[in-house]
Amino acid sequence: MWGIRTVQKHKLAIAGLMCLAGVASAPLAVTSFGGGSDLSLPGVKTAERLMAMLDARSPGEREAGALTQSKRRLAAAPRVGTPGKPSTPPLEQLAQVIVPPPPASAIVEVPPILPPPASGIVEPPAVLAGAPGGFGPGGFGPGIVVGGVGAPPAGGGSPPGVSPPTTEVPPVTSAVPEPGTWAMMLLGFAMIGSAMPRRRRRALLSARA
Amino acid sequence: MKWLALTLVAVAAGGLFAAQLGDSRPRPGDSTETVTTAKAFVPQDTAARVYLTPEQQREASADGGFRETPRSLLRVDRRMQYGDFEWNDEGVPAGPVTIRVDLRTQLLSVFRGGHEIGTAVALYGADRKETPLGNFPILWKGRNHRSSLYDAPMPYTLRLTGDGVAIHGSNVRWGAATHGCVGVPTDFARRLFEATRTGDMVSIVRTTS
Repeated sequence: MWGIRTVQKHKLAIAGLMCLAGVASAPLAVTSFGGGSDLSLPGVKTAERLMAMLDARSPGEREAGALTQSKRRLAAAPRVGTPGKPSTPPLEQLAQVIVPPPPASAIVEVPPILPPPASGIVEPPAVLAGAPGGFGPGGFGPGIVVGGVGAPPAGGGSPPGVSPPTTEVPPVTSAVPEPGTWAMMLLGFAMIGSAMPRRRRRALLSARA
Repeated sequence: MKWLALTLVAVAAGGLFAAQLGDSRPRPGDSTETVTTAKAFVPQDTAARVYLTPEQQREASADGGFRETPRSLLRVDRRMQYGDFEWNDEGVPAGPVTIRVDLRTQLLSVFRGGHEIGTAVALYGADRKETPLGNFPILWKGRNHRSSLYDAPMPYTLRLTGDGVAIHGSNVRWGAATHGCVGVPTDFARRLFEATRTGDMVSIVRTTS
Protein backbone atom coordinates (compact mmCIF):
# COMPACT_ATOMS: atom_id res chain seq x y z
CA MET A 1 0.00 0.00 0.00
CA TRP A 2 2.69 2.38 1.04
CA GLY A 3 4.91 1.40 -1.87
CA ILE A 4 2.19 2.08 -4.40
CA ARG A 5 1.62 5.54 -3.02
CA THR A 6 5.30 6.43 -3.39
CA VAL A 7 5.29 5.26 -6.96
CA GLN A 8 2.23 7.37 -7.68
CA LYS A 9 3.87 10.34 -6.04
CA HIS A 10 6.98 9.79 -8.13
CA LYS A 11 4.91 9.63 -11.28
CA LEU A 12 3.06 12.78 -10.38
CA ALA A 13 6.30 14.57 -9.67
CA ILE A 14 7.79 13.51 -12.99
CA ALA A 15 4.67 14.55 -14.87
CA GLY A 16 4.70 17.94 -13.19
CA LEU A 17 8.37 18.37 -13.91
CA MET A 18 7.85 17.48 -17.56
CA CYS A 19 5.04 20.00 -17.91
CA LEU A 20 7.19 22.66 -16.32
CA ALA A 21 10.09 21.79 -18.59
CA GLY A 22 7.83 21.90 -21.65
CA VAL A 23 6.53 25.33 -20.77
CA ALA A 24 9.93 26.65 -19.84
CA SER A 25 11.62 25.32 -22.97
CA ALA A 26 9.04 26.81 -25.33
CA PRO A 27 11.07 30.01 -25.91
CA LEU A 28 14.05 27.86 -26.83
CA ALA A 29 12.01 26.12 -29.51
CA VAL A 30 10.61 29.39 -30.81
CA THR A 31 13.97 31.09 -30.98
CA SER A 32 15.66 28.14 -32.62
CA PHE A 33 12.98 27.58 -35.27
CA GLY A 34 11.67 31.07 -35.81
CA GLY A 35 15.07 32.64 -36.22
CA GLY A 36 14.29 35.26 -33.60
CA SER A 37 14.18 38.21 -35.96
CA ASP A 38 10.78 37.28 -37.42
CA LEU A 39 9.06 37.35 -34.07
CA SER A 40 8.31 41.04 -34.18
CA LEU A 41 6.70 40.90 -37.66
CA PRO A 42 3.05 41.90 -37.65
CA GLY A 43 0.55 39.17 -38.33
CA VAL A 44 -1.58 41.36 -40.58
CA LYS A 45 0.71 40.97 -43.56
CA THR A 46 0.82 37.22 -43.34
CA ALA A 47 -2.95 37.13 -43.23
CA GLU A 48 -3.26 38.61 -46.69
CA ARG A 49 -3.06 35.91 -49.27
CA LEU A 50 -0.94 36.29 -52.38
CA MET A 51 -3.86 35.53 -54.67
CA ALA A 52 -5.92 38.16 -52.90
CA MET A 53 -3.14 40.66 -53.55
CA LEU A 54 -3.16 39.80 -57.24
CA ASP A 55 -6.94 39.82 -57.41
CA ALA A 56 -7.02 43.29 -55.89
CA ARG A 57 -5.19 44.75 -58.87
CA SER A 58 -7.07 42.81 -61.51
CA PRO A 59 -9.73 44.48 -63.63
CA GLY A 60 -11.81 41.38 -62.97
CA GLU A 61 -12.80 38.43 -65.03
CA ARG A 62 -13.72 38.93 -68.63
CA GLU A 63 -17.39 38.43 -69.19
CA ALA A 64 -17.58 38.14 -72.95
CA GLY A 65 -14.58 38.95 -75.04
CA ALA A 66 -15.39 39.48 -78.66
CA LEU A 67 -12.92 39.36 -81.49
CA THR A 68 -12.11 42.79 -82.76
CA GLN A 69 -14.12 43.94 -85.73
CA SER A 70 -11.16 44.69 -87.96
CA LYS A 71 -9.65 41.29 -87.46
CA ARG A 72 -12.91 39.50 -88.08
CA ARG A 73 -13.41 41.36 -91.32
CA LEU A 74 -9.94 40.41 -92.42
CA ALA A 75 -10.47 36.86 -91.38
CA ALA A 76 -13.70 36.60 -93.32
CA ALA A 77 -12.26 38.04 -96.50
CA PRO A 78 -10.63 35.57 -98.91
CA ARG A 79 -6.91 35.84 -98.73
CA VAL A 80 -4.72 36.40 -101.70
CA GLY A 81 -1.65 34.31 -101.21
CA THR A 82 1.73 34.83 -102.71
CA PRO A 83 2.11 32.68 -105.82
CA GLY A 84 5.62 31.53 -104.94
CA LYS A 85 4.54 29.70 -101.82
CA PRO A 86 3.66 26.02 -101.96
CA SER A 87 -0.02 25.28 -101.66
CA THR A 88 0.51 22.86 -98.78
CA PRO A 89 2.63 23.53 -95.73
CA PRO A 90 5.90 21.57 -95.44
CA LEU A 91 4.71 19.41 -92.59
CA GLU A 92 1.63 18.39 -94.49
CA GLN A 93 3.76 17.57 -97.54
CA LEU A 94 5.98 15.39 -95.38
CA ALA A 95 2.98 13.61 -93.96
CA GLN A 96 1.70 12.98 -97.46
CA VAL A 97 5.06 11.54 -98.50
CA ILE A 98 5.18 9.20 -95.52
CA VAL A 99 1.55 8.16 -95.62
CA PRO A 100 0.12 8.59 -99.12
CA PRO A 101 -3.47 9.81 -99.06
CA PRO A 102 -6.04 7.10 -99.66
CA PRO A 103 -8.22 7.19 -102.78
CA ALA A 104 -11.11 9.60 -102.81
CA SER A 105 -13.74 6.89 -102.36
CA ALA A 106 -12.15 5.79 -99.11
CA ILE A 107 -12.37 9.28 -97.69
CA VAL A 108 -16.11 9.35 -98.06
CA GLU A 109 -16.58 6.10 -96.18
CA VAL A 110 -14.03 6.41 -93.44
CA PRO A 111 -14.81 9.26 -91.10
CA PRO A 112 -11.71 11.28 -90.29
CA ILE A 113 -10.31 11.28 -86.81
CA LEU A 114 -11.62 14.30 -85.03
CA PRO A 115 -10.48 15.88 -81.79
CA PRO A 116 -12.53 14.93 -78.75
CA PRO A 117 -15.45 17.28 -78.16
CA ALA A 118 -14.09 18.19 -74.73
CA SER A 119 -11.26 20.21 -76.25
CA GLY A 120 -13.72 22.45 -78.01
CA ILE A 121 -11.07 24.21 -80.01
CA VAL A 122 -12.17 23.84 -83.55
CA GLU A 123 -15.49 22.97 -84.97
CA PRO A 124 -15.18 19.77 -86.99
CA PRO A 125 -17.68 20.71 -89.72
CA ALA A 126 -15.94 24.00 -90.34
CA VAL A 127 -12.61 22.21 -90.61
CA LEU A 128 -13.79 19.66 -93.10
CA ALA A 129 -15.84 22.01 -95.17
CA GLY A 130 -12.82 24.26 -95.56
CA ALA A 131 -14.57 27.05 -97.44
CA PRO A 132 -12.85 27.28 -100.83
CA GLY A 133 -10.23 29.93 -100.62
CA GLY A 134 -11.64 30.89 -97.28
CA PHE A 135 -10.01 31.12 -94.00
CA GLY A 136 -8.64 28.04 -92.29
CA PRO A 137 -9.54 27.01 -88.81
CA GLY A 138 -6.47 28.57 -87.26
CA GLY A 139 -7.34 27.05 -83.94
CA PHE A 140 -4.71 27.67 -81.40
CA GLY A 141 -4.46 24.81 -79.03
CA PRO A 142 -3.08 21.38 -78.53
CA GLY A 143 -2.29 20.64 -82.10
CA ILE A 144 -4.12 17.99 -83.96
CA VAL A 145 -3.05 17.39 -87.49
CA VAL A 146 -6.44 17.91 -89.01
CA GLY A 147 -6.65 17.39 -92.70
CA GLY A 148 -2.99 16.52 -92.89
CA VAL A 149 -2.79 12.79 -93.40
CA GLY A 150 -6.20 11.25 -93.85
CA ALA A 151 -8.33 13.96 -95.32
CA PRO A 152 -6.81 16.31 -97.86
CA PRO A 153 -8.99 19.38 -98.37
CA ALA A 154 -11.31 19.21 -101.32
CA GLY A 155 -10.05 22.47 -102.75
CA GLY A 156 -6.58 21.09 -103.33
CA GLY A 157 -4.68 22.04 -100.22
CA SER A 158 -5.26 24.64 -97.63
CA PRO A 159 -5.24 28.30 -98.61
CA PRO A 160 -1.74 29.62 -99.14
CA GLY A 161 -0.01 31.25 -96.25
CA VAL A 162 -2.30 29.73 -93.66
CA SER A 163 -0.60 27.06 -91.64
CA PRO A 164 -2.82 24.50 -89.94
CA PRO A 165 -2.45 23.95 -86.23
CA THR A 166 0.21 21.32 -86.21
CA THR A 167 2.45 22.09 -83.28
CA GLU A 168 1.77 20.32 -80.06
CA VAL A 169 2.18 21.89 -76.66
CA PRO A 170 5.33 20.34 -75.16
CA PRO A 171 4.37 17.97 -72.35
CA VAL A 172 5.38 19.16 -68.93
CA THR A 173 7.44 16.55 -67.14
CA SER A 174 6.95 16.28 -63.44
CA ALA A 175 9.88 16.64 -61.05
CA VAL A 176 8.46 13.79 -58.99
CA PRO A 177 9.20 10.37 -60.51
CA GLU A 178 6.45 7.94 -61.33
CA PRO A 179 5.81 5.27 -58.69
CA GLY A 180 6.97 2.60 -61.11
CA THR A 181 10.26 4.40 -61.76
CA TRP A 182 10.76 4.91 -58.08
CA ALA A 183 10.06 1.25 -57.32
CA MET A 184 12.53 0.19 -60.00
CA MET A 185 15.20 2.41 -58.47
CA LEU A 186 14.56 0.97 -55.01
CA LEU A 187 14.71 -2.53 -56.45
CA GLY A 188 18.06 -1.70 -58.05
CA PHE A 189 19.44 -0.43 -54.77
CA ALA A 190 18.18 -3.54 -53.01
CA MET A 191 19.89 -5.73 -55.57
CA ILE A 192 23.17 -3.87 -55.19
CA GLY A 193 22.83 -4.06 -51.43
CA SER A 194 22.25 -7.79 -51.51
CA ALA A 195 25.00 -8.43 -54.04
CA MET A 196 27.74 -6.58 -52.18
CA PRO A 197 27.98 -8.74 -49.02
CA ARG A 198 27.60 -11.89 -51.08
CA ARG A 199 30.52 -10.92 -53.25
CA ARG A 200 32.58 -9.99 -50.21
CA ARG A 201 31.79 -13.34 -48.59
CA ARG A 202 32.75 -15.16 -51.74
CA ALA A 203 36.03 -13.24 -51.95
CA LEU A 204 36.80 -14.12 -48.32
CA LEU A 205 36.06 -17.77 -48.96
CA SER A 206 38.25 -17.87 -52.05
CA ALA A 207 41.05 -16.14 -50.11
CA ARG A 208 40.86 -18.77 -47.38
CA ALA A 209 40.82 -21.56 -49.88
CA MET B 1 15.15 8.37 -13.06
CA LYS B 2 17.73 10.77 -11.76
CA TRP B 3 19.15 11.31 -15.20
CA LEU B 4 15.71 12.01 -16.63
CA ALA B 5 15.09 14.65 -14.00
CA LEU B 6 18.48 16.21 -14.64
CA THR B 7 17.82 16.34 -18.39
CA LEU B 8 14.47 17.97 -17.86
CA VAL B 9 16.02 20.56 -15.58
CA ALA B 10 18.72 21.24 -18.12
CA VAL B 11 16.15 21.72 -20.91
CA ALA B 12 14.11 24.03 -18.73
CA ALA B 13 17.18 26.05 -17.86
CA GLY B 14 18.05 26.31 -21.54
CA GLY B 15 14.57 27.52 -22.32
CA LEU B 16 14.69 30.14 -19.64
CA PHE B 17 18.06 31.31 -20.88
CA ALA B 18 16.72 31.58 -24.42
CA ALA B 19 13.75 33.57 -23.20
CA GLN B 20 16.10 35.92 -21.40
CA LEU B 21 18.20 36.30 -24.52
CA GLY B 22 15.13 37.02 -26.60
CA ASP B 23 14.02 39.74 -24.22
CA SER B 24 17.40 41.39 -23.98
CA ARG B 25 17.87 41.42 -27.78
CA PRO B 26 17.58 44.99 -29.05
CA ARG B 27 14.49 45.71 -31.12
CA PRO B 28 14.91 46.97 -34.71
CA GLY B 29 15.29 50.69 -34.72
CA ASP B 30 17.30 50.90 -31.53
CA SER B 31 20.48 51.53 -33.46
CA THR B 32 21.47 51.71 -37.09
CA GLU B 33 23.51 48.54 -36.85
CA THR B 34 20.59 46.38 -35.84
CA VAL B 35 18.47 47.87 -38.59
CA THR B 36 20.96 46.85 -41.24
CA THR B 37 21.26 43.32 -39.90
CA ALA B 38 17.48 43.03 -39.77
CA LYS B 39 17.30 44.14 -43.40
CA ALA B 40 19.68 41.42 -44.40
CA PHE B 41 17.29 38.79 -43.09
CA VAL B 42 13.87 40.28 -43.75
CA PRO B 43 13.74 42.77 -46.63
CA GLN B 44 11.67 45.77 -45.73
CA ASP B 45 8.81 46.80 -47.98
CA THR B 46 9.46 49.91 -49.99
CA ALA B 47 7.22 52.42 -51.71
CA ALA B 48 7.44 50.45 -54.95
CA ARG B 49 7.77 46.87 -53.77
CA VAL B 50 6.10 44.43 -51.38
CA TYR B 51 8.22 41.53 -50.19
CA LEU B 52 6.40 38.28 -49.77
CA THR B 53 6.28 36.35 -46.53
CA PRO B 54 7.23 32.66 -46.47
CA GLU B 55 3.55 31.79 -46.24
CA GLN B 56 2.78 33.75 -49.39
CA GLN B 57 5.73 32.15 -51.16
CA ARG B 58 4.45 28.72 -50.23
CA GLU B 59 1.04 29.70 -51.52
CA ALA B 60 2.58 30.71 -54.83
CA SER B 61 4.32 27.39 -55.29
CA ALA B 62 1.15 25.54 -54.47
CA ASP B 63 -1.05 27.56 -56.77
CA GLY B 64 0.99 27.06 -59.88
CA GLY B 65 1.90 29.40 -62.65
CA PHE B 66 5.01 30.59 -60.88
CA ARG B 67 8.04 29.05 -62.53
CA GLU B 68 10.13 30.06 -59.55
CA THR B 69 9.19 31.21 -56.10
CA PRO B 70 8.25 34.88 -56.21
CA ARG B 71 10.06 37.04 -53.72
CA SER B 72 8.45 40.41 -54.18
CA LEU B 73 5.60 42.08 -56.03
CA LEU B 74 5.26 45.57 -57.32
CA ARG B 75 3.09 47.71 -55.11
CA VAL B 76 -0.09 48.29 -57.07
CA ASP B 77 -2.59 49.79 -54.68
CA ARG B 78 -5.36 50.13 -57.16
CA ARG B 79 -7.52 48.15 -59.50
CA MET B 80 -5.82 48.33 -62.88
CA GLN B 81 -7.86 49.33 -65.88
CA TYR B 82 -7.65 48.05 -69.43
CA GLY B 83 -4.46 49.42 -70.94
CA ASP B 84 -2.81 50.03 -67.57
CA PHE B 85 0.59 48.68 -66.71
CA GLU B 86 3.33 49.05 -64.13
CA TRP B 87 7.04 48.68 -64.76
CA ASN B 88 9.79 49.14 -62.19
CA ASP B 89 13.03 47.19 -62.22
CA GLU B 90 14.98 49.54 -60.01
CA GLY B 91 17.39 47.69 -57.78
CA VAL B 92 16.38 44.30 -59.14
CA PRO B 93 19.53 42.35 -60.00
CA ALA B 94 19.98 40.37 -63.17
CA GLY B 95 18.48 36.92 -63.15
CA PRO B 96 16.26 34.51 -65.01
CA VAL B 97 13.18 36.18 -66.44
CA THR B 98 9.84 34.42 -66.21
CA ILE B 99 6.46 35.59 -67.35
CA ARG B 100 3.18 34.54 -65.76
CA VAL B 101 -0.15 35.11 -67.44
CA ASP B 102 -3.35 34.49 -65.51
CA LEU B 103 -6.37 34.43 -67.78
CA ARG B 104 -8.87 34.70 -64.95
CA THR B 105 -7.47 37.92 -63.53
CA GLN B 106 -6.38 39.09 -67.02
CA LEU B 107 -2.97 39.96 -65.64
CA LEU B 108 0.51 39.42 -66.97
CA SER B 109 3.46 39.61 -64.57
CA VAL B 110 7.16 39.62 -65.39
CA PHE B 111 9.58 38.35 -62.78
CA ARG B 112 13.33 38.70 -62.78
CA GLY B 113 15.02 36.48 -60.22
CA GLY B 114 11.71 36.17 -58.41
CA HIS B 115 11.12 39.91 -58.18
CA GLU B 116 8.24 41.31 -60.15
CA ILE B 117 9.45 44.02 -62.50
CA GLY B 118 6.32 44.58 -64.54
CA THR B 119 2.63 43.84 -64.67
CA ALA B 120 -0.11 44.70 -67.12
CA VAL B 121 -3.70 43.98 -67.98
CA ALA B 122 -3.67 41.49 -70.84
CA LEU B 123 -6.10 40.42 -73.51
CA TYR B 124 -6.47 36.76 -74.35
CA GLY B 125 -8.17 34.51 -76.83
CA ALA B 126 -11.87 34.60 -77.50
CA ASP B 127 -14.03 31.63 -76.60
CA ARG B 128 -13.66 30.11 -80.07
CA LYS B 129 -9.94 30.91 -80.23
CA GLU B 130 -8.73 29.98 -76.82
CA THR B 131 -5.30 30.82 -75.54
CA PRO B 132 -3.52 27.55 -74.70
CA LEU B 133 -2.60 26.93 -71.08
CA GLY B 134 0.82 25.65 -70.10
CA ASN B 135 4.48 26.55 -70.08
CA PHE B 136 6.02 27.86 -73.25
CA PRO B 137 9.53 29.04 -73.99
CA ILE B 138 9.87 32.17 -76.11
CA LEU B 139 10.66 30.74 -79.54
CA TRP B 140 11.24 33.86 -81.53
CA LYS B 141 11.21 37.63 -81.10
CA GLY B 142 10.10 40.14 -83.69
CA ARG B 143 10.21 43.86 -83.13
CA ASN B 144 8.12 44.96 -86.07
CA HIS B 145 6.26 41.82 -86.84
CA ARG B 146 3.25 41.82 -89.10
CA SER B 147 0.97 38.84 -88.87
CA SER B 148 0.76 36.91 -92.11
CA LEU B 149 -2.30 35.15 -90.79
CA TYR B 150 -4.36 38.22 -89.95
CA ASP B 151 -2.47 40.88 -91.86
CA ALA B 152 -2.32 42.92 -88.69
CA PRO B 153 0.62 44.67 -87.01
CA MET B 154 1.90 42.82 -83.97
CA PRO B 155 4.67 44.97 -82.55
CA TYR B 156 7.17 43.45 -80.14
CA THR B 157 6.09 39.89 -80.73
CA LEU B 158 7.32 37.12 -78.44
CA ARG B 159 6.26 33.94 -80.16
CA LEU B 160 5.33 31.07 -77.88
CA THR B 161 4.07 28.28 -80.13
CA GLY B 162 4.72 27.15 -83.64
CA ASP B 163 1.17 27.90 -84.71
CA GLY B 164 1.47 31.56 -83.94
CA VAL B 165 0.41 32.15 -80.36
CA ALA B 166 2.47 35.06 -79.09
CA ILE B 167 2.63 37.91 -76.65
CA HIS B 168 2.50 41.18 -78.53
CA GLY B 169 1.53 44.79 -78.26
CA SER B 170 -2.08 45.60 -78.92
CA ASN B 171 -4.80 48.02 -78.07
CA VAL B 172 -5.95 46.68 -74.71
CA ARG B 173 -9.51 47.79 -74.11
CA TRP B 174 -12.68 46.50 -72.58
CA GLY B 175 -14.61 43.87 -74.46
CA ALA B 176 -11.79 42.94 -76.81
CA ALA B 177 -10.29 39.51 -77.31
CA THR B 178 -7.59 37.98 -79.45
CA HIS B 179 -7.28 35.01 -81.77
CA GLY B 180 -5.32 33.16 -79.10
CA CYS B 181 -2.46 35.55 -78.53
CA VAL B 182 -1.83 37.48 -75.36
CA GLY B 183 -2.18 41.20 -76.00
CA VAL B 184 -0.49 43.76 -73.78
CA PRO B 185 -0.21 47.55 -74.10
CA THR B 186 2.36 48.37 -76.76
CA ASP B 187 4.51 50.45 -74.43
CA PHE B 188 4.60 47.55 -72.00
CA ALA B 189 5.31 45.14 -74.84
CA ARG B 190 8.37 47.21 -75.80
CA ARG B 191 9.79 46.94 -72.27
CA LEU B 192 8.93 43.25 -72.18
CA PHE B 193 10.66 42.77 -75.51
CA GLU B 194 13.81 44.36 -74.18
CA ALA B 195 13.76 42.48 -70.88
CA THR B 196 13.33 38.99 -72.31
CA ARG B 197 15.44 36.65 -74.36
CA THR B 198 14.60 33.68 -76.50
CA GLY B 199 14.11 30.66 -74.28
CA ASP B 200 12.66 32.52 -71.31
CA MET B 201 9.67 30.69 -69.97
CA VAL B 202 6.09 31.90 -70.08
CA SER B 203 3.42 30.22 -67.96
CA ILE B 204 -0.16 30.69 -68.97
CA VAL B 205 -2.60 29.63 -66.27
CA ARG B 206 -6.21 30.12 -65.36
CA THR B 207 -6.41 30.23 -61.59
CA THR B 208 -9.53 29.38 -59.68
CA SER B 209 -11.05 32.14 -57.64
